[in-house]
Amino acid sequence: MLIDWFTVGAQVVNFLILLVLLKIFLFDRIKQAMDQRENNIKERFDKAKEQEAKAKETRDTYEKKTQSLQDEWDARLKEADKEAKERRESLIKEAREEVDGLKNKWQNALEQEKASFFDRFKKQAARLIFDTVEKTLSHLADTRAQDQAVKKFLSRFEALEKEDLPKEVETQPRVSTGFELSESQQKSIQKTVSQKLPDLENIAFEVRPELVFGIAFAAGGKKMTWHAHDYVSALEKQINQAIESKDHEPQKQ
Amino acid sequence: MNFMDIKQISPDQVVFFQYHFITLNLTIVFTWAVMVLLVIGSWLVTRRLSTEQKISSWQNILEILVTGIQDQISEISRQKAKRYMPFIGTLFIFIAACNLLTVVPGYESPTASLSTTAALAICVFISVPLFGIAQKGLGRYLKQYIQPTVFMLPFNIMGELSRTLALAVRLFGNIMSGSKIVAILLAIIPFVFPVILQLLGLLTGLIQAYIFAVLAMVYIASATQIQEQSDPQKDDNQ
Repeated sequence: MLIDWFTVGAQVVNFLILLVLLKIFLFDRIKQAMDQRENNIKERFDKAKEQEAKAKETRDTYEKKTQSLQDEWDARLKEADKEAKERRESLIKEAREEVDGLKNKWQNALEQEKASFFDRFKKQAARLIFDTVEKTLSHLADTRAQDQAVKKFLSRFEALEKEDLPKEVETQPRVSTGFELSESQQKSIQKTVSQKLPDLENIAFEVRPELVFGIAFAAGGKKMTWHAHDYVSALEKQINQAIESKDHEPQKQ
Repeated sequence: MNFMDIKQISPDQVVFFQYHFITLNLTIVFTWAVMVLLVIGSWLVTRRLSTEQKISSWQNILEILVTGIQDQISEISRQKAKRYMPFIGTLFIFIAACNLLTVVPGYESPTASLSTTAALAICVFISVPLFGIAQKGLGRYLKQYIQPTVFMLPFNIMGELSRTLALAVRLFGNIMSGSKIVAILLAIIPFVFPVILQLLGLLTGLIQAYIFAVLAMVYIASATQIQEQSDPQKDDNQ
């Protein structure tokens, strides 16, 4: 017979013993170790998750800070840009004002220089014209320009209407000339003036070089002048116009 | 060193000691040897189990084995494996160890004895109603024998007995025939061929262990799963 029932019973017992022993020494221990490890891994995983959350939180905080700094930086940059623009505009304005000031100053100086030049020019031109006329008349007509000027003054004075003459002469009348009058010329003038204005006392004569070729009579608040200033002024005007028109011409490269 | 003669079919026939009906035969001796080996091996491996991520190779092998058995149980039973793990696991490990040790010269597998396979089949036969009753109670368990009609009772009982017999005979037949074929071939062609058959025998032995354990689990699962179909609400609450 292939089956021995005692062996069957013994094997059943052996199997049950083995079952208990393996349960104690193998399955329970292995399961326990695996559960323990699983718990450890779970704990680590939870810890890692927690750390991840913390890291995320920190990252968010730093991102916010970075954003804040960026905003601040942008604002400051904008402010600096605005300040720089304002400063630039201010400096440009100041520079323009300075340039304008310098330009005005320069123009004023130029105008003054010009005026001074023309004043000198007027005097010199008048003097030159007078000298030229004097020489010309002297050589060609055997006469003096100043004599002719005195003559012309006297004829004009004589031709004056009563209303053109001064009514009351409280101060001493004055005759100014650009040249030295001779005694006879002074007497002629005195005589002519006295005829027109009998109340007048002696006339005071003075030399004013700026009159050059002219004669001025001042009495009772009235002033009568006969001189070459108008001609010289016309000449000055023409020269001035000529200079200005040349200044405005575009410069040729 | 061979304890068995070629004419002896079962290691039960090699008796070392006998007193009345008490016999100490080769089956029992080698069963004890396997038991000692398994218990000592388990103790050695599990005495310093690591709960850290880095583990030893032996622990790794054991964990793979235990997890594999656990997964198989879960797949078959669709229940938590914890309850059935020691029983099914011990069945598989014991049979596998018995069969794999045939590579050792002079060793005779206890599973080549019908007494051993019958003992294991009896254990399964007893465990099925035990797990079934524990799971759903005596009345409900016994009720399944008269399902779908009361006339099915003798057939169900016969089915229980026949599958137990099939379990015992299948394992015994496979292992015994394998060892006998190797022994015969060793006498006829002593080179190469017996080694190949021996290796094939190892594979067959492992497969038989797997089949035995899986069938045992299927039987237990069939006894415990009826409850799910009849009273799913109670199962959900557990």
